Amino acid sequence: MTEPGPAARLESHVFAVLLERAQPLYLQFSSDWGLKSLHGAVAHWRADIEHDQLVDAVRDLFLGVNPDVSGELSSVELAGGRIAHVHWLRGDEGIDVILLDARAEVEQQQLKQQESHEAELASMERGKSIDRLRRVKHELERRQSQLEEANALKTAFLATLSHEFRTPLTAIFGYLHLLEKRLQPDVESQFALRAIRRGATHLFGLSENLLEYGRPEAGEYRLNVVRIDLNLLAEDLRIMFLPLAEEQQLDFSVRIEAVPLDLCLDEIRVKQVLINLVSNAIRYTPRGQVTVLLRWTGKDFEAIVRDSGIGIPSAFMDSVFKPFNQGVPHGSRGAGLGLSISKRLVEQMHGELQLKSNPGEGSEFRVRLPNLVIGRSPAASGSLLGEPGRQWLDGGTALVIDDDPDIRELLRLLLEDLGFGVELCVTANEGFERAIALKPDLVIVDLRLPGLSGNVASFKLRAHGFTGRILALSGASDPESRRGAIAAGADQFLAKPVQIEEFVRAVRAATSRP
Amino acid sequence: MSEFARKICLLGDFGVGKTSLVGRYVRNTFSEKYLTTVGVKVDSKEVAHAGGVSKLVIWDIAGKSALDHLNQTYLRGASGLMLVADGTREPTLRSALYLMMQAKSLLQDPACVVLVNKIDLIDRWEILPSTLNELRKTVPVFETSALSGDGVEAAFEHLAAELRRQT
Repeated sequence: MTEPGPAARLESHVFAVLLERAQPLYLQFSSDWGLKSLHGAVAHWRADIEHDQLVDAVRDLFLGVNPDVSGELSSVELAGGRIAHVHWLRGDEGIDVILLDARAEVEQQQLKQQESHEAELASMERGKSIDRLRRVKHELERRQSQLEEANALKTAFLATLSHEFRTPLTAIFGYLHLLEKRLQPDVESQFALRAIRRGATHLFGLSENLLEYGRPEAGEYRLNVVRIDLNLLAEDLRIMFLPLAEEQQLDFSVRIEAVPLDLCLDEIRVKQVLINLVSNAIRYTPRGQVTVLLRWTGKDFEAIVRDSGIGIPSAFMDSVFKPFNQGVPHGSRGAGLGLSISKRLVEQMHGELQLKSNPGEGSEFRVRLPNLVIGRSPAASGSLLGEPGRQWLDGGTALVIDDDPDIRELLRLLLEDLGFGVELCVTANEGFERAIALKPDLVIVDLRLPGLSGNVASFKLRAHGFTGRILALSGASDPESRRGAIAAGADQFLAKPVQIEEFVRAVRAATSRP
Repeated sequence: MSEFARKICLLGDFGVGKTSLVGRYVRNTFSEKYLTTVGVKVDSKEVAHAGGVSKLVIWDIAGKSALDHLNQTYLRGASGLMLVADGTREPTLRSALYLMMQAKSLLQDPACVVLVNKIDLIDRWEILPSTLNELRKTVPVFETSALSGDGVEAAFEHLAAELRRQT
């Protein structure tokens, strides 16, 4: 026998190296894919201990395929994490399948590909981030002067606190409204309802003041100007404060003088200012009287709140307008935000707030506001409270998606009062499914829901061609939340606590027919 | 043992979440870490339904915006296609639709569904609802989240039912 030549020896070596790397496994199948034999690197492929799983995985590769005479599938990861190049040969008696280990090769390729994909994804994210940064920079520049004054921690804390008040306040005001409207209360119950309203109003004022205080002093404050009904405003003040004044045995009156019919102001802000001023006046007047005068001077609207209270020493006249009663005597009786917020709100309405006071004799706060250009139709002003809704909203269907059971039930009652048939859901997915099936005229969706957000429900509904109106409710009132809700598909956005009048207006606007 | 078995392929740009969708559907697992797929990963799942047990053999093909020769070899024998896009990257929807067009030219009447993934990141979506509303007129579309699982089972079940209906 002759020794093999050098070329043959090398070939034999290469063959041995390749076999060692490839760890081939040979599977012989019959024409109907019954396994006839399995041999080769059995242990390497765990074909001894996971025999059936491996054979099934190989069969799966040929599902739906009539294999050619020979062929190959590269870089296949089979169930169980085995990575192979799969080759096959077809003969008269069946199919031979060969698995060659491709793990090292695939892992090496994966490293490179991972780097390249991550770089590309990072580059895309970088591009988006740069865009976002540009927008943020622009916004920061616009607000720079205001932000310097802000205390970020206090701001965030107060804003969060106030937001947390809003959902329960919505429920309190809503149910209160229903009780007042539906019951025929006796004297004691009337007293109790008024006390509840007074307490809730106080909390509402406090939370609105906290929120306003927590908000940076926005340069572009958007006024919500409506034609204002001063009789209603005066009545609201009387309802709110008369019981409190009577408890302290104070004379309390609200008068109106010479006011034109078309006086246009930011009603909510005016009310907030007057609530703050009257609340302060009653708090610091142990005996005597508190009077409110609302009048038109011929040039401006004036609200004058006078009291015969303890008064303010001249040294503290400026300090009272600083938050948290900084340096002011008797400052511990309230949160100390009312006057600073009132001053800010009056300035936002392009007006001024003046103070005269004599210690021991009393104080006078004078608010002067210009008549503003109206931005909304008179019909949209806040005088709808108590009007029956059935006259203008009958026969529609509404779907409420809210996880708070109190709010859900409240919305049901209000919407039924407005003439809707109402269905209730808790989650975004449930709401979406129900809305697709029900095709309601109106969907009211809370943004913060368990699991997916309310915006997902709006988006999916619009993505499925839903053409009904969508009204989004949120505990947050920032422009970003509003933009997000509208971008997802909502027609309108309401921040909590939703006042009944505001809710009715929004529902009417959402469902009004052209 | 399933009497009914079909091969389906997932196609879509890289990073849209194909592997995560399969992980969620087959094993009910999810990993935040992105791991690119090389070649193809083949998995399977058996599902019981009123008509018996069906088996889906799922080919999760490495992400590309167009089919190359290698990916074409993986498609052979497929009865269904799952085209996957990432809602936060609008161009991936165009890639998915292009891949659908290419794959349809290689296969005989495959059943198709489009999955727009990452619904959990809705606030970062670039794809508009009106786009999906239009698309839905020609092909079933599912908004999904491999992270939360929303829409995943429904999308696979829809495709499986469509395949059973075709038999």
